[in-house]
Amino acid sequence: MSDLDMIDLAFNVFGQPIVVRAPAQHSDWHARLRDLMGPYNTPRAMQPAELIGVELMDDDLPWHVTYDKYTSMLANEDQLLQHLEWRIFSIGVLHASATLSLHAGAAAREGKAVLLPGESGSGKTTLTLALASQGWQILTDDIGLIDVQDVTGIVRPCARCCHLSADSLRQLTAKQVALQGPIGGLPEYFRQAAQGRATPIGWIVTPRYAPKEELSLTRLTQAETAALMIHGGLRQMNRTVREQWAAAITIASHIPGYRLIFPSLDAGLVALAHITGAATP
Amino acid sequence: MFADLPTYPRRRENVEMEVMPDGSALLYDPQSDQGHVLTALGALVWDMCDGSMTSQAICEECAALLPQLPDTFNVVHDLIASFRELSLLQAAEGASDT
Repeated sequence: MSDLDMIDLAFNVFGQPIVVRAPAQHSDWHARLRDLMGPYNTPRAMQPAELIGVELMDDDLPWHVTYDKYTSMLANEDQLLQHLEWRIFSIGVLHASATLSLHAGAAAREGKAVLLPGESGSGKTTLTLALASQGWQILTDDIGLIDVQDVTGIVRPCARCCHLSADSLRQLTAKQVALQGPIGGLPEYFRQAAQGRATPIGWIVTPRYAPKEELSLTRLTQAETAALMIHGGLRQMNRTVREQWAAAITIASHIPGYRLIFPSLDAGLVALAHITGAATP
Repeated sequence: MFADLPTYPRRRENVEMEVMPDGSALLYDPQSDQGHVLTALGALVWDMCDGSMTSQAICEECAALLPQLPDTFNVVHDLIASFRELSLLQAAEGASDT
């Protein structure tokens, strides 16, 4: 296929230019990808950009996505979109200039943010988004990019789509949380209607949704708080492990950390209100 | 009880410790690129693992220092055992052990 038959879809994620080079024909998914990427779309690629190649092959798994030395094969356009969205943000995080990046939700209120580090399935996305019903501004539901200035950790907003199960969506809708979507024609992809600005971290709470357990809130030692930030850390090319450790230690030395086990969304919100001094829902 | 522990436990020199303001601590092992969380007691025990004291003496010293904590002797024993399992101690025991 000649270059003339290809089209570049350009993005800028966390300051990193990224290009998806794809066949110009079979282009139904191009607009869907642009919807998914929202504010990270750019009209043209700045150089040097990271390049993701997409090819359509005559194959059972026809969509081939190549980045660096890796090739992934996908069965249909939905899978292609999910993979590309994930890949683009992974590259963005890899090149991010933030001092520390980790899997975490975050929301801000009255100039302070609560950071909610947690692994996939911990309930952090639903709990983070539910905070919008209590007057908090959502910063991110999954990718926590943190800049350390002196001894203060500042969490940046991230407009990546949230991935919501039908049950989470039902609970958030019941709380009148404003969400846009489904986006890109993918039924689980939503974006918060409004987003906060970069905000200093005031509390760190690692949540775990456990419907059969009692509500439990435990204060963590500073070392435990630092460790959970490091444990949830995402790899960054611009930051050594030592730098990420130093950032986590600095933040944990000044910010209280907690472990929260919550059996229901309401219970989780009550616990967060207790920690942060916000009005109880 | 101490047969499974080094007689004179000595921490590996390249393992870094960061003591937090609340007394808890983090160990960072550049060899495995792993971090480990310590309580304030764990930090004390790590500090004592300098090859100058036997494992039993460390347990007794901590138990005497912290009589208000339950089962300190056994907790310290298990801490030294975990340091060993995590390869945080020198393979060869301290000079004072020879």
